[in-house]
Amino acid sequence: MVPIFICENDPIQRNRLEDIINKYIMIEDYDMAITISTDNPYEILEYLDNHENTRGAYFLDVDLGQDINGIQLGAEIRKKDVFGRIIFVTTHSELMSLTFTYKVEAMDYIIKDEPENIQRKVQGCLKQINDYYTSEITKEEDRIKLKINDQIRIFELKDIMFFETTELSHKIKLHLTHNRLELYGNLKELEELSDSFVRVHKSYLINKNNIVTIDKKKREVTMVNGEVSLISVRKMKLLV
Amino acid sequence: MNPSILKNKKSFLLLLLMIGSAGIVSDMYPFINDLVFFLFIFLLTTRIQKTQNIFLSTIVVVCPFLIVGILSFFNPISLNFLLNLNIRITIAIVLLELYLYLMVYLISYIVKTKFLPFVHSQQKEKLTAAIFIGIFVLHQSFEIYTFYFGNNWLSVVSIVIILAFSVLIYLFIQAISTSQALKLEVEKQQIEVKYMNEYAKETTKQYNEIRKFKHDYVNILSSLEYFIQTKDMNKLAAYYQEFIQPTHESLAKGAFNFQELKNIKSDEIKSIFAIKLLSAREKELDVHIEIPDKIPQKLPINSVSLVRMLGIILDNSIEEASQIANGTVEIGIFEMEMSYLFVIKNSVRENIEPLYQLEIEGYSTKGENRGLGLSNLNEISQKEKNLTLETEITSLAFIQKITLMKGEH
Repeated sequence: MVPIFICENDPIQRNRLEDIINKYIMIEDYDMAITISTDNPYEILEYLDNHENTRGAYFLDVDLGQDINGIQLGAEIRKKDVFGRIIFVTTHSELMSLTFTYKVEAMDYIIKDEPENIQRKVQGCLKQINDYYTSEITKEEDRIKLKINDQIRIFELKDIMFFETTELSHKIKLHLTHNRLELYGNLKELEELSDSFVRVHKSYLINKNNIVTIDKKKREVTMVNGEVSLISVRKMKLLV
Repeated sequence: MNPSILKNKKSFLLLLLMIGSAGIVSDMYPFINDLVFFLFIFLLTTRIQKTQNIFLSTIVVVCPFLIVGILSFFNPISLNFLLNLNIRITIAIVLLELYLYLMVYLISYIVKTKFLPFVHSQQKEKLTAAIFIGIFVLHQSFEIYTFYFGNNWLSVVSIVIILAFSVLIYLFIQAISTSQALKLEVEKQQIEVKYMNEYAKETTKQYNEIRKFKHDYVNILSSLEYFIQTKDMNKLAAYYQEFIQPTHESLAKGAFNFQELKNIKSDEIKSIFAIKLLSAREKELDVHIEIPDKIPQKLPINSVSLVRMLGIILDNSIEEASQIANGTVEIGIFEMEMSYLFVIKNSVRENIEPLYQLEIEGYSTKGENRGLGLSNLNEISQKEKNLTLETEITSLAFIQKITLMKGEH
């Protein structure tokens, strides 16, 4: 069961939020329940300290009227529940979309404007949370976990094109469908992460499921997103 | 001796002259041949590959001579072995040739694929180059000495020539490596100066604007006073509409300070954002900034690299966003648990090209150097140890993230 936490200092807003969530969980028959609904941020942190490995969903108001605000609470929660889904509930003037997304890695934010909108947004978030937690259980082998800087991130295999070495010996460049990112590691270790990864070249580790064409003459492999990786002659037989 | 031997034309000519005379000597005394060959190849490499690592090219140049040296040491043994096999002498020689060819190929292959990358990754080019040249010079001196031993004064002269050459080679390498380092340093400083100048220029411009405003303000007040004194309400209203209303707008838009950037304590970082924000304002672009945490003066990175990267990213974002209706740029800087995170996000035109296409050097939809940005950015980022770059493109936005690790990595 996915525990849901609410932190909001306005009792009317809090009751409304509880109401929307409870009703929608019942209608859709989601495996979720509100565990804590409070105006005290420390209550949630205390619960997380006493229940290690909690993986929950959090609806947090930004202005809590306490010594810490919702963003700080979110950052603390993130330390204790790395993959937890955090949603900020905020007024328009407190909107800090980049901070929500990148500092706290919030899943989404809801702006307190018209009640109808709030309801629609909350329901959308619950659906997304449900999708996230159910797909997590079934398809573990279709994703890999990588440490990117100081955070652990999950990547779907279908998004991974190839890994490439850089000028620095411990820095690897990862090519995704629409992303590029750099990480610390080496190709040998990365190769172990999935059976789909093939070391086709001294400097390249590719996901063989995303190959479109292999050009034997130019010694190049074209991936589904149009990117090109090199392949050495001796490694050609690994693929054909 | 002056280390700037490369820039000093006289010393360079002298060097050439010495090689020339050595050429004549080698014609008569073949044992100096190797040395002359070496010098020629060495000079050629350094002249052609100026940008490359001088120590690495030295290693590459010395290697063949060492390979030949090692093999010729084993040659008599191998030949004896072959002759003992009771085969015809021609076959034995052919076999020996084949064996030598194979050995040279094998050793070169190992040097190229294993040894050089290893030396490069360990950053021991300087030491390896010194050892190689040392071995080479010792070997040459030994050969010449044994050849001319006790025979005549030539043995002494040859060794003097060899020693002179090795000193010259050493000075030459020193000169080139210092000039390479200097060039890099100068380039860095030029960039710093450029940004500082831009910043100073913008600040002056703002200061002038404030002064102009002050001046206007006094004028406006006296006019108002006049209309009020004469109790001409119609003119007062007209005057307000025409002159005072507009200043309201310019005050709001101009925002003479960068309140949003107050949490950045590093001057270089602050100035690059300030400059680019001004250029965005000139283009009437909507820029949204979130810097909730204090960003300290001292960051764990060469600030020139970071400023260059931020400059490129901001230029690209402003350029792209200013070309679409309601385009926006969002900037966020955050302190994370173990790092600092810079996020720059901008809206993109419809059907934007895929990332790998935008990244190709010189690629641009508008010609002229625009596409250089992304490939330059990658190049800088790949050289910085404590920094990682992430680039993401969606149908709505282009997002670039720079993460600076706080500790060593």
